[in-house]
Amino acid sequence: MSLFLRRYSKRTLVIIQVVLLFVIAFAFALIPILDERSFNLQRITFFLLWYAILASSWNIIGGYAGQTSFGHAAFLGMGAYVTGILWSQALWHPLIALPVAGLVAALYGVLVGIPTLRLRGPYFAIATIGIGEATRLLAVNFDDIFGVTLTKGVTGISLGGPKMPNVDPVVVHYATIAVFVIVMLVTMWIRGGRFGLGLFALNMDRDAAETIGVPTARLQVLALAVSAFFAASAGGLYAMRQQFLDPASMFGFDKSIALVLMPVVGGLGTVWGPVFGAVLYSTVQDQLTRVVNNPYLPSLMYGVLLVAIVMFEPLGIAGLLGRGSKYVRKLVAPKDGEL
Amino acid sequence: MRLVEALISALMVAGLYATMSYGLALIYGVMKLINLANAGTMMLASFVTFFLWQTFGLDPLVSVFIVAPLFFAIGAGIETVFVRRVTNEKPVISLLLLFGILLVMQAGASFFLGGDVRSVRPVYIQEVIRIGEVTIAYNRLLVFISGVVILVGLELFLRKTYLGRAIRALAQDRDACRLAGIDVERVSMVAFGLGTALAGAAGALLTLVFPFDPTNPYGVLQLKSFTIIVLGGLESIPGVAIAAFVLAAAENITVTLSKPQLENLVSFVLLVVVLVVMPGGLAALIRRRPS
Repeated sequence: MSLFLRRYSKRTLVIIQVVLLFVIAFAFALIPILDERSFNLQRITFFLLWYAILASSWNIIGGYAGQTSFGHAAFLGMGAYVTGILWSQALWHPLIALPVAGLVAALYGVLVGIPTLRLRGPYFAIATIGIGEATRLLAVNFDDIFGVTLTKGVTGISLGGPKMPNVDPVVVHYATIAVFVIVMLVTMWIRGGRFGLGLFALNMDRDAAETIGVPTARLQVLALAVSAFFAASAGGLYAMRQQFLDPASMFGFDKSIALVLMPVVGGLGTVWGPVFGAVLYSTVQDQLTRVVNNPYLPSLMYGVLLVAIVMFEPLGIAGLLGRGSKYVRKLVAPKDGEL
Repeated sequence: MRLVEALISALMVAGLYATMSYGLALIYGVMKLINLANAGTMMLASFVTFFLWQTFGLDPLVSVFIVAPLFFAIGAGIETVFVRRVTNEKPVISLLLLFGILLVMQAGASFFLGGDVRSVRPVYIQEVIRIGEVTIAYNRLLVFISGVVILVGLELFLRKTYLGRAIRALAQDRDACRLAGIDVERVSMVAFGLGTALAGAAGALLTLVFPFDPTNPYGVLQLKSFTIIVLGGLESIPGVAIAAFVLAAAENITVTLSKPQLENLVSFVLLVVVLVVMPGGLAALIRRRPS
């Protein structure tokens, strides 16, 4: 009987979360319908969801698989550039280019992951710092090195001219919501399913996981590929919306830092934590920089916050919210194996 | 003659690379954690050196002797207050902690002291030494010599003193050290302090060669020092020195044969190649120990 109850409550929790997700998505989807000229609100929504997608994608490798990536901007930028180049030079519709860009980045993730995730220790974290920097340098110098005009170096590429397939901003709005819903469903599925269970096992004790037959290296590489796919999708969405790409803003180390901060501050390895982190981050980026004129204050704040979270509340905002009530905790910050 | 010149130039750069990587290797060896705050420490040390030079006219080579003890204390403090509490957690946690400390150092320095690029320029900064047809920049030679002195001093300390031996023992087996009656906490604190002091010394010396930028402390150099410690086998101090030379030579060859834009890509390519071919680094290759 108690087993039945536990199962039942687990399923209920999943249903509550999925319903919550669709309610949020529906509310955002209503914005352009209710007010066609709500450009500012659409911009805020875009960046909020964009950061949430990025944070959730990082959480797959950094939270679930327990491998810190300090170079995720590489995947973000790659997604943006592949989308942009296919759009501007091959004249593909960007909505078709976007998943292709995701797959290219996932492949890149596999190539990077195979040598580095197979080893124990901090090799992956070190390698990702290199990947981030090397990919940025490649994007800056690609045209010089290979003698083909593709990334246009530091000048960046402008998109969306009259010759290219046209994309309505409202379409971008819906595409962003769709990607957000997909990434959330995927993280819920990972959290609840066999894949996530394997990741948790290897995260807790790699030896024990291997002994019971969890293919640890393969699972981690797969997690990195999924993570890279969604980070790159976010890059593609950015290309569609901003219609201008340059290496500093897409591959910059500040992007990689933001990608680490959001999920950690929000709640490492939880489904909703990265979303909380993204809400906080995009609000701070939007408001604090307007109030205080010093560009370094946010980073200083995040640094202090990061240290404090690691020391006192490893589950971040989700953990803090969960301290209030048992039910909220089950929903946003469940213990390993609870969901 | 060009080959000799290229080799000497690589050697000079290697001295510089090695100096900034010793601390990283020492801390990894003892505590099995990557000190992501290394570059931040170097940048802060550069600041201290800069202020000493500006207000008292102290040469960076003299400042080293003030900066290193100061950063030993800072490092020991960081270990006691922060790092010690997370040593038993998952590796992600300590990485994130040190990353947070790096952010605080970097953003704090930019916030309170301004984000301008600064440089220390003693009178001899542009002088060169000519031996036959080979020219060596004086400042690089000084850094190289300091790098060698630090290598020798560190090796002597690790091999001859009790504390040094305890540090090496800790790098081998933490639990066995406890059984043998070594005060693991205290030795860890000393090791982290020493690693930080080495980063501080590197930061002081580097002002002789590079201008420094608090917003992006030694950017690419940070990556290079990671490549160097992986190539050197993560724990070995002489391994670091050899790896620094290998990286410097590889960069030199790449720039000579190909395009200068590729210089900073070399360290990454080398990193991946080492990870695939010999994850134990040069030290394992020399030891030929079955893994």
